[in-house]
Amino acid sequence: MPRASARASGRQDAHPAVRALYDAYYGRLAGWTAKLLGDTALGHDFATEAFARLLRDYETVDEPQAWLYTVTANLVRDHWRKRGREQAAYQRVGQDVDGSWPAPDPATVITVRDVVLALPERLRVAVMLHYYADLPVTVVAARLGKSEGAVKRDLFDARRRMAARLEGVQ
Amino acid sequence: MTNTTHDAHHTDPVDEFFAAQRADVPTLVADELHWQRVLGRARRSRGRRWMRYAAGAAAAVIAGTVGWQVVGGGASPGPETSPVTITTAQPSPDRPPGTQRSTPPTVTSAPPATVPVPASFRLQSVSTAADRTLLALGTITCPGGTLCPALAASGDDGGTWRQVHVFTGAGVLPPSQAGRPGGTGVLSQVRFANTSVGWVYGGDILRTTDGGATWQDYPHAGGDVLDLATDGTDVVLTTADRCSGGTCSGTLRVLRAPITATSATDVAGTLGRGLTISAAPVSWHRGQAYVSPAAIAPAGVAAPGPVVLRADGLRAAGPASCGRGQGPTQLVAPAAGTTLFAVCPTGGAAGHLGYAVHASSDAGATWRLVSSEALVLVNAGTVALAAADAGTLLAVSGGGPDLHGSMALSVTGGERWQAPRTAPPLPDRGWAWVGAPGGSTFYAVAADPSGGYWKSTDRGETWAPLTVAGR
Repeated sequence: MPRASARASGRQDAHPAVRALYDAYYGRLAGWTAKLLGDTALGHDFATEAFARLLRDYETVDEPQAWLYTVTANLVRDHWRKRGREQAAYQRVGQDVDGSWPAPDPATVITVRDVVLALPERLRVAVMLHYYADLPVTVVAARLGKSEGAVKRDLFDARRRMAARLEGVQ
Repeated sequence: MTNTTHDAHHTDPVDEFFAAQRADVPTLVADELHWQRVLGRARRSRGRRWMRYAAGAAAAVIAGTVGWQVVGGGASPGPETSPVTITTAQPSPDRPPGTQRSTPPTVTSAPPATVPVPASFRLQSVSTAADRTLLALGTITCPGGTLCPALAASGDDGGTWRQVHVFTGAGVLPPSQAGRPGGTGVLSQVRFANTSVGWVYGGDILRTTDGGATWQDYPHAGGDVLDLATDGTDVVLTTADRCSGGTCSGTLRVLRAPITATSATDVAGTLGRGLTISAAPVSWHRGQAYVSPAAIAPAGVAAPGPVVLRADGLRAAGPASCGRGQGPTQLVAPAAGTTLFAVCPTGGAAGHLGYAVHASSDAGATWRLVSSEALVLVNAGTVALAAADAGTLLAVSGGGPDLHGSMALSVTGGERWQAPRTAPPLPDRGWAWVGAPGGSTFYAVAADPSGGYWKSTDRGETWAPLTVAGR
C-alpha cells in the first residue's frame, strides 16, 4: 500500500496521492467487484465510483485500501438491493422456502456471488470485507462503525450458513 | 492483504472457498482512460453537489458561465490543435424522477473552417448523415489531461475527416461501456437525421441544426437519455431516471418528436415500474419505431419485451417464445427489405451464449423461428446486431477485457452463422457496436480505445480499417 493513512501526512494535493493508489489498487478492486457481480463493466464502474469518492474525501480517509473496499462493497450491496436479484439468486442456489439448504451437488459450481447473495442482507458487507477482501475483523468493525464483538457475531452467523452450503462442494 | 482469524482453519470449507475465490480475482485494466473517468466523475460529483446547494442562483450562474465561455473562448486554453469551438455541456442538477429536463440553451461559437482531428481522438460512435457524409463522436485529450467528447465529420465517406466540435466539460465513457447508461453529463453517442440536424447523447443530450458546429440543450421528458434513433422525419428517444452504475431505476419513457422540434417533451408511452434498466435501444423499420428494453422487473412481474410505437401508444412486438428469462430480446431492423428480426439468448455454457433468431414479415405481428442456437457468441458483456437486408445479419459481442468477444455473420437470414471470410482482428475487449447504414455496408466499432473503425462493403465478408484520429 503506498500509504497507510491519507490523513497522517496532511493533504497537500489529493490528485497525485490518489493516482498512486489508483495505480496500486484499481485493477484488483475492479476485478474483485467484477467477480462479485459477474459483470466486468460494472466492476469498472463501481471501482471508478469508489476512486472518485476517494478524490473527494481523501483528507478524511485513514486507510484508503480498506476504505475503497468498504465503499465498493456498499455499492454492490445497494446494487443488489436495487435490482431485486435476491429471489433469483436464492432460486439459483436452491434454498428452500423455509431457509434450509438442500444437499449440495458436488458438480455445482458455486460463485462468490451465489454465496454472498444467499446470505441475509445484514451479513453481506461484513462477509465481503472479511472473507472476500481479507480485511481483519478489527478493520471491518471500524469501517462499519460496529464493535468487534458485533462483527464477530455476524461473521459467525454467516459462517454457519455458508458452511452448510459449501460442505462437500470444494 | 492482512492475515485474518480464519486463516488458521485450513480445512474449513468456508476458508477454502474464499481463499480460492480471492486467488481467482482478476486484475482488470487500470489504464489512463479509466483514470480519466475517475477524474471526470469526481468533477461532476462536485458540480452536482454545488448546484444543489446553490439552488436558485444556479440558473444565473450557468448563464454567466455560458457567456464567459462564448466571449472568452479565444482566450481560454483550448483543446489540442486549439479549435475555438467551445461549448458547455453543463452537468444538470439532480431532479425528481419523471420531471422534464429543461436547461438554459447552450450557445456555442462558430468553428474554424478546417481543424484536423487530433491524434488522441478515440472513436466511440458513428452516424451516417447522408450519402458519403459521416459523423464520428469520440474523445480527445483536453487541457489538464482530461478527456472531452469531440465530434469529427467526413464528407467523402470516411476518406478524410475534420474536427467540428469539442464538448468541453462533458463526461465520457470508456469504449467498453458504450450503450450503457452514462449518467448526467456524459456524451458518448451521435446520431444525425441529415447533414444539418443531429444529436449527441449518453446521459445528457444536445442538438445541432448546423451540422455539428454549434449545439443547444434539448429539453426532454424523463431523465438520462438511453438511446435515440431517427428516420429522417421524426426522432424517438428512450429515457430513464436514477441512473448509476450502468443501470437506471424506475420507469422507461419513450419520447417522439419531429426532428425540427427544439425539444422532446411529449411522452409517447412508458414501460414498467420499478424496473432496473441497462439499455433500451431504438430502431426504425418501414416507418415504425421499435424499442428493445433490456430490463429486470421486480419479483413476480414480467420484464418488458420489445414494443412498437403506434399512434395510440406502445404495443408488444417481440415473439412470445423469445427470452423466457434467459435475457432480453433485441429487435434488428435491416437497412432494406420487409423482414424484421428478433434475437434472444437461449442459454449458455463455457463462456458462450446461444441465441435464437426469429423473423417477421408483418412488422412484428407474427414470428417464425429461423434458428435456435445456430448463433453462438462469446459472453463478453454486451451484444450488438445489425442487418443489411433479409438475408445478411452481423452479430458481435464485447466489453470484457479477458474474454475478447466475437463476430459472427449470417448470409442465410439468420439460419446459419459463421465468422466473416476475412474478419478484422479481434480487439482485446471485442466489439462495442455494429451498424448497417444501407446497401452492402457494415460498420464495426471496437470496445477498445481506437482511433478509427472498421468497414465492410461486401455484406460483412471482408473488412478494412478506417482511421479518424490524426486525419
